[in-house]
Parts: sequence; structure tokens; C-alpha cells
Amino acid sequence: MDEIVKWLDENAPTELLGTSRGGGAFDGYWGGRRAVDSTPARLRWLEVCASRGLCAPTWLPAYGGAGLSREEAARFEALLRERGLPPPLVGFGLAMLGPVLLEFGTEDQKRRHLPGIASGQIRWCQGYSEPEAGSDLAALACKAEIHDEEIVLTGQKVWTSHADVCDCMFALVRTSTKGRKQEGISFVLVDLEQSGVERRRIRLISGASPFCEVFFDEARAKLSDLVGGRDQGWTVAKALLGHERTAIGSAIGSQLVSLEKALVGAARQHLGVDDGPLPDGLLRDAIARCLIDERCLALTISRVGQSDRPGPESSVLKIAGSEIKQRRHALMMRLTAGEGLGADDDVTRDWLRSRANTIEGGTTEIQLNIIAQRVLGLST
Amino acid sequence: MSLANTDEERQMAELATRLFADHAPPSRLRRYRDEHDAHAYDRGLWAKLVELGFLDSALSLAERCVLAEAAGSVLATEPLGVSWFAMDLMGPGERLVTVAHEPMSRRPGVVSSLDHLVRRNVAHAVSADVTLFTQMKGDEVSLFEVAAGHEALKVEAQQRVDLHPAAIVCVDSTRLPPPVSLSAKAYDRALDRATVVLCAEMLGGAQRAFELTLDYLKTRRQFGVLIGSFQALQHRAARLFVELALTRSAVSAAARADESTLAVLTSVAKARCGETFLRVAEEAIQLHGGIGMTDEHDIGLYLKRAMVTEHLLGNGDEHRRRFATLSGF
Repeated sequence: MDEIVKWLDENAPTELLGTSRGGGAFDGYWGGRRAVDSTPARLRWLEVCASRGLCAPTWLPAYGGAGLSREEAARFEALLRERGLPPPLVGFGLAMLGPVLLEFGTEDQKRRHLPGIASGQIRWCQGYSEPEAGSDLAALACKAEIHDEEIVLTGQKVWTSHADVCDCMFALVRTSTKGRKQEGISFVLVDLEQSGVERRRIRLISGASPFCEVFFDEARAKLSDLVGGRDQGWTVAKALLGHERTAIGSAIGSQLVSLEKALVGAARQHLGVDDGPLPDGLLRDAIARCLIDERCLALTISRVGQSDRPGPESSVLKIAGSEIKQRRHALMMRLTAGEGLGADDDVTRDWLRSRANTIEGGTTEIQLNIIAQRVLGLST
Repeated sequence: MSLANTDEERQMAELATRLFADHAPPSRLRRYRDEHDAHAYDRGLWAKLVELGFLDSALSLAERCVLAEAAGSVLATEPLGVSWFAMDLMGPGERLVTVAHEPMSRRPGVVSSLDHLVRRNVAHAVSADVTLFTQMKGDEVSLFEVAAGHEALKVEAQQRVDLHPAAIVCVDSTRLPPPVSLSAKAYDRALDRATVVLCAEMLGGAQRAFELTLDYLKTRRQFGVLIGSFQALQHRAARLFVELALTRSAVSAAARADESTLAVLTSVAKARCGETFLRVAEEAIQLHGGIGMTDEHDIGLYLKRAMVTEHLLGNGDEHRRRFATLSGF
């Protein structure tokens, strides 16, 4: 570890020191060939980390990682936090696709795809929802026909975050219409840079959003990029959703310090006091309530969110994380309303955006179903 | 589900759970009430707990919490919490000591007047060999050790809603024995530790009320099906599960807090526990339907205990206020 500390002090770009907002799995540079959020410092930071496998510290070196244990990786992340350094790379490849490839992928798939994720070269998006398959995800219909070594895709995906700036998609597609609807689904990796793929952005109530629609018109994928076997994609899909819920929950839980500053700072400005106890007891109580709930969420993440394969308890993190976030943004509106409630204010956009948190990544109602049925054993 | 983390803690949890299940069913609270038993605890069971080392001064706060959680799950009345509190204030001893402490609104830093030596909700005061009065004096706290039967002492049993033994205790301040002095910091630490133990007890109660409710959803039939198959009820149960998971994290962290984080984590845990226990108990009665409203059913005892514990050692409002002060706003 001493060696890593020395290495960090020599290589971490000074421009990035103290810039991390501590936002967890999704707060940092997203990489990819179409990157829109790159800066020279971010690129340099990515490059020095990737050369030592430190973007994916626990993956094996053969897959672009550094082969560190969980404990070592946690210590490395703590070193970054101490310096206010953002992670060198974030995204769905590291947080979601990587873990399921490690569990379900063939050796060939791991060697072909993991290094591209760990180096930040390839940015991945998630092709799950369709217009007729939202909460009822298994009803998805995007057609996949297999011809020799090739898969031909025709259909539509929706709510695909960041599809317009991604290189590839991991998608759920229908390879069979026989049997239960879950039994004819396959998990396939698709290159988006090809004719036969069209991407359109979706505008939300917040005025902006990362969401897109993606249309496949005889787009092609390789048969060797089917993960977990033909018609066996549902198991892979569910495992990935566990990783997604944990990442969404933890992204929220790791913002404690900056959040406290933001809420208390806004309250002080609103009330016109520089220090001391906030003179409005109701606001003070509302802020304390909000911060106590955030603290409990963060403690829950460190208590249950540490397994390699998140189970149904990830639904607890998803529900609590998204609802606490909504309450926090509503409280920020209450504290800043005096400034005019502008449609383009960050506070306003964040508040509107937070309404999607209980819908995306599996609605709260679906998470409640999962807890009731799979954890509590209540049958339908 | 238990606060236990290590193998040793798990063994303690198992032992305590078994003992309380065998000797301390919640239904005995009604018996104590109907027989006007002001002691309202089982002295045979208490002797056994002491013999087994439940009052061992080497127990960590986390270990105390594991035992308190087991006690709380059956609403046990044996004087564990108050004995540990007294032990932290005046060291271990053989006698049963209760603490007649100041309400939460008077924490160290405040000077309280001697006229205020009337204390309510003093646990086990009727049975105690010694009542320990606390009095704030700025940076110091005076502890007055008053033996049972002392001429200055008056003890009046309360008929409290939760049916746990408690009393209103008064002393004639002119005839008190000389006090022992403790730093406010040491007193505050002891008070925080007692509060965390109470949180563990509340968590145990909330968890058990939830489990009883879950059992009911899985056995009660209406419209020809189990009521637990209705989505409206499933979602309510799942909501409680989420609530309990977050509160459990808070108690678990407070039970293992170090000196620098004990105060803030105590207030986080107590603020959450009060809300969670009350909400779970209220929902438990609603989900039990008519039977949940009856005196005959145990679930109502959990609601009563939830209301009382919310107001012992500082309620949610007071702990959120303290959290804000400790956080610098």
C-alpha cells in the first residue's frame, strides 16, 4: 500500500485533487469512443490507472484488472476519497456488465470484452425495457434470428440511458416464443456502430435526460456474443439487475458529506444566518430527518451491499435510496424557492429528475413485489 | 435476524432467545397486571440471567445489545437495561440499582435545581435496593445513592400503559446523603450507552411484531385465499421490511461506535427506532384486523411498549435536535 500511496502522489493529476463529489459508482468519467465528458486531466488519470489495471482493481490482470482482493480494492478507493479524487472510470460496463460476464461469460467473452471495459475504450448501455415491456420486463419482444454464426436483430428498446454516446449495448432479446415468456430470452452483446441501428433522445419533464430510444432494423451481432447460452438470458438479466440496484443505491448513499453541506448551506442562505443553530425549528427538524435517513441508507449499504452477487436485499437499497433522494430534492426546493423556481435551475432539474428514480431500474412497486415474494415468502 | 456479528455474539443471542422464549412469554404482562404485581418481573429468571453472566462487566456494548434485542423481542421486563446503566455510572455490584435520571431535555451543561428531584418512569424502583439520583451541575453530574427504605425516599408505582414496572420517585432534598461527582462527559457516555441498549430492545420488539404479522398473513384466510396473497398487504409488509432494514443498520452501527461517533450514532438510532417500532406496531395491528385490537392478543402489547420506549431516554424530536447540534446546524 505504501507503494500505491507513493504512486498516487506522483501520478494523480493535480487538477482533479479535491474535485470528487463522492457520488459513488456513477460519478466520474464514463469513457468510450464518443466521449462527451473528457478533459485532458480526466484522460491522463484514466490512462495511468488503466495501465496498472486500477479502473477495475479486483479483476484479474488478463481481463484488464489489477488482481487486488476486495479489501485491497476498498483501501485503494479510500485513498482516492481521502484525496478527493474521482474514480478514474465509472459506468455500466464496470458496475453491471463486468460482474455478470465474470459470472456467466465464456473465457473467450471475458478476454474479448473485459479489457475494453477496464481501459475505458468501450462504453456500454443497457438494452432492457421496450414500449410493451416495462415493469413486465419478460414480455419483451425484440426479435433475434440466428443464422449460422450471426444474430439478426429487429425491434425497439426504450429508456436506454446514454445510448447516443455509447459504443455497445448489452441487450435482452427474444430468441424463442415457445414455453414461458422468461424461457425464450437471450442476453446478447451488440455493437451500436453499424447500419441497422438508430438512436433518438427522449426529453423528460426536467428538460434534459440521459434517456434514448434505440431501433434495430436487421442489426447484426455475433453468436459468440450470446452470454449464458441461447434462451438462458433471463438468469443473466436478473443477476445484472441486482448489480444495477446496488449501484443506484450506493451512488446515492455515498454523497453524505456533500449533501449535508448543500442542505445546511441552502438553509443558512434562506434564513440569513451564518452559523449557530438554525433558528427555524421546523426546517432544522426536516433537515435532520433527511440526513438521518441518508445516514441509515449509507450504513445499510455497508452492512448488506457488499456481496459479490446482490440478492433480493438490493431491492431494499433501491426503494430506500430512490425515495430518500426524492425527499431530499423536494427539501432543496423548499429551501431555495425564494430564489425564483427557475425552470433551468439545477435545483429544479434535479428535483424533476428525481421523480424518475422510483421508476427507472425497476419501479418501487416491482421492488416491493420482489421483497414480498422472494424474501418474505408471501405467495400470489 | 440478530445484531450478532461474531460467533460468540451469535451463541449469546441463541442462549438469550431460548431462555426468554421458555420463561418470559409476552402474555405474562397481562398476568402481572391482573395480579397487581408491582415488581412485574421473574426473580427466578433474573437470578439465572445474572448467574449466566448477563451482568458481566466485561460485556461489550455490542454484546449487551445482542442480549437486549432478545429481551425486547418478547417484551421482557427483567432489569437488564437499568442494571447496565447503573454499572456504567458506579461500577459493578451485587445490589439491584435503578437510575432516577433527568429527562432528555436536561442533558449535561444545564444546571438543574434540587427542587426537581421528582422523577417519573423510574424503571424497577419498587424492587430496587438502591435508587441513584442524578443532578446536573454544569460540567459535572452529582449522583445521590439512596437505599430502599431511606426516610427521604418516596416510591409510588405507576400503572404505565406498557405494563412494565416503573414508578414515580421523590426525595426530600434536605435529607440526601452526600453525592459522588462524575464528569458530564462520562455521564453523557453512560447515558448514550443506555440509549443504544434501549434501541436494541426496541429493534427486537419491532422485528418480532413484524414476524408475528408475517405469520398471520401466511395463515389467515379470507375470500377463500391466504390474505398474504393480496398485493396491497404484500406491499405493506415489504415496506415494513425496508424500514426495519434501515433501522437495524443504525442500531448495529451505534452498538459498535467508537468514542468519537457514539453520540451522533446514538441519536440517529434512537430517532429511527422510535418511528420504526411505532409504525411496525401500528401496521401490525391493522394487518391483524379485529383480533389485533383485543386485549387477549399479544400484538397490542408491542404497540404499547413502542409508545413508551419512544419517550424514554429522549424521543425522536429531541434526538433529531441533538443530531443537528452535534452536526453543527
